[in-house]
Amino acid sequence: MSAAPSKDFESPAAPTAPPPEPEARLLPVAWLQGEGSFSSQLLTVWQQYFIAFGMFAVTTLLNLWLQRWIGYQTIALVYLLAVVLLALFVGRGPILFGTALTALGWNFFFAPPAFAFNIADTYDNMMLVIYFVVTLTVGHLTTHLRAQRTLEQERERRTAALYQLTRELADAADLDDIFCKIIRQVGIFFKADVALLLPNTNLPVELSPYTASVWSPKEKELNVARWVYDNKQPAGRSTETLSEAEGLYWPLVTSKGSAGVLALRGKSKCELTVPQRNLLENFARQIGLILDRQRLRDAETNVRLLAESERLGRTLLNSVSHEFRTPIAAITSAASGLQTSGSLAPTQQKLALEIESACARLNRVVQSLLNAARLQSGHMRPNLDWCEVSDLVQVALRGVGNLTAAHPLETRIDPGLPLVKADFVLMEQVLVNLLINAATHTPLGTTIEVAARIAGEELILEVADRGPGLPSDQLDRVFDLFHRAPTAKPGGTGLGLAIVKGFVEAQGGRVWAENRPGGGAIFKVKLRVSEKPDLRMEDIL
Amino acid sequence: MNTTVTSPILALVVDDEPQIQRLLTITLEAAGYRVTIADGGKQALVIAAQQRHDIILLDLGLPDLSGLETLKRLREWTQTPILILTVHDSETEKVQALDCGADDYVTKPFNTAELLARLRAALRRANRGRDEEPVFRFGDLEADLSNRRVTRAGQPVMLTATEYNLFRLFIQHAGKVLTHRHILREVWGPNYQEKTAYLRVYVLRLREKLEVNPAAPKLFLTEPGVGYRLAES
Repeated sequence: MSAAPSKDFESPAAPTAPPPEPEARLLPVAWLQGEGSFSSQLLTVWQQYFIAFGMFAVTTLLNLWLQRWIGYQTIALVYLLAVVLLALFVGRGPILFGTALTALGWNFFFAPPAFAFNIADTYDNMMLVIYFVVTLTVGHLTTHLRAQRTLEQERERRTAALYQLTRELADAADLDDIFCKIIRQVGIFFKADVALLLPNTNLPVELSPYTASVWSPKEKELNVARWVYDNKQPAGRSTETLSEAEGLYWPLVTSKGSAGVLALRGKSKCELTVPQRNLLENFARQIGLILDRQRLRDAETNVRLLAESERLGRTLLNSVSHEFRTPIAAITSAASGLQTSGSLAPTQQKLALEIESACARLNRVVQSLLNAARLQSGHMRPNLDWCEVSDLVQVALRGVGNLTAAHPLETRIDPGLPLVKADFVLMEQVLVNLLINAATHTPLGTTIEVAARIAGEELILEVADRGPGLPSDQLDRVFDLFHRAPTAKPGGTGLGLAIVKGFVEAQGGRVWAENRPGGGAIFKVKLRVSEKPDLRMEDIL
Repeated sequence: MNTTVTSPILALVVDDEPQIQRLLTITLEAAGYRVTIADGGKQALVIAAQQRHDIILLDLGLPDLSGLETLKRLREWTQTPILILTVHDSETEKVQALDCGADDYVTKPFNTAELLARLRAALRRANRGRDEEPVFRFGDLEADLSNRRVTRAGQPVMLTATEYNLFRLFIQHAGKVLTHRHILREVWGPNYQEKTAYLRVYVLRLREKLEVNPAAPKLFLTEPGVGYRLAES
């Protein structure tokens, strides 16, 4: 057993050693300086030896007094008791010292012949040896137990510190609160100035101290921080990397990569011990997890807000739509009911028909307004699925009904067109609007042509008329909301083409207008068809 | 219609709008129906349980219980034909309603004649047994399901197995809207429910083989965003 104390685990030699406390506290603990401990760590080695000697002296005096009533063998037990008590306070070296002193003391003062080191009786010699061994063993065990307890306490306190940090951060309301708490808690735990270096959003990434930081590292130090941020490795003081730096830089790593760097500048000039380093590592990991959680929470809040606004918009749209459509439905139903009742005079019959067609027109306007509102709100979600082009054109022609009755219609659909991924309902509306637009703005009797063909990777749908065409400065502007070409005939809302544009673009396509050679306008819709349907040959039988 | 019916057809109208309630009552009563009104889904469930109706007209936008939920609960115990009243651009809702067992839908604002025709068709389908009438006729097209024979103007039309299966499904539900998913599930199997491409290809083929003018189909009608409907003979 060595008397050199500095390597013992309860040794007080290293000034930065974490001073254990008698009780684990949930309150922040000063790590760099011992506080409020009564244990040996507060006593220097020499003080401990002095205590051991003092104990010996006092016990010897006591024993000399007790000697009158008890035998010299019982005296040994009193010495043993004293050494055991001593073991509660001092380290191994002083215990060994105390044991030796008491053994010699017993030998010298009490074992016959008294006041001499030689022992007459074999029995007493034996007793001396046994006393020495027992005392040493008991002393050693006691010290060992105490050391164990100290370790336990230290571990417990580290856990408590981590728990404290986690709880503080978990209670944080938002990211700013989290950052402030990190800076404060880490500062308290490690008795250090703490800065939190966060990346900016631009590229290249630059780190700058968060506003609540206690200190701000200089330019050169920031480079160290930058290295830490990029490599996700700690650097600076108390590490193997760039250890000449002023501060210690520890990365805060989340599942999405580095979130920032924790910079510590110790108030005293001492290094971190291994347990402190471990604790800091745990802190950093915990902070990373909490930042991760906060990021997810923020994302979730955003999604919820978005969904909420979408829901509100939809509710509003639905109720407005309901309020318009219910009376329209009632009038349509009543007007058509009148016609089918069969009891109307021819004039009344015609009037009922007029009511019905006016209602149909009103319904189209409401529909257009609702579509425009849907587009404006940005909540357009095309339902892309495989569409067959000839079917699409045919359904659109059916949807237009008698609105194009005054115009001869020509359709030219290339045979063998592939299936196209598009929203059937939106595309139908696009074609219907283009057809109605053509029918409204061209003289009666002029032909309207609908064509579909493939050009490379794109499907091109065309609606062409033989009307007056468009002034060249209007070719783009006709698609603007509520815009009507100055040459346009009265009628129309300025919504139809805007909806066409919105619907086509919502599906990733493009629409534009051109003037045709030979007079008239042509509207072209282009949709990508790069995706091919996944059809297995064995299923196509 | 009202002249041939001995006992009036009982119709349950489920709609929360008094104006629509009144109009449907007038229209349906004029056509010989007897009408019961329910203001909401819960009331509809109670009334439907108390009295057997021949047909139910169900608005999808109800205040208390959603139309869809009402439909599901009704379908738990009754096979009474259900016609959905809905608005434009609610294709998803229509598809859901049809998949939940609705027989057909009418989009508001609807024409009275169209509504009555749909009601008649739904009633006819409900009264017709499923395997009755093995021969389907449309113009000069004739399909004899018992002999698996399809002819046009007396000339046999060759259909592949899948084409025939698809056509047969349409015939079995003539006049009824079939959703894409429904058709794909029945003809190709549950794993093909989302593979609309197959359906598009086969409908195109059937039109080419069976329609008089495939560019303007009269038999295989597209219901945009919902599915297909086979016109009734």
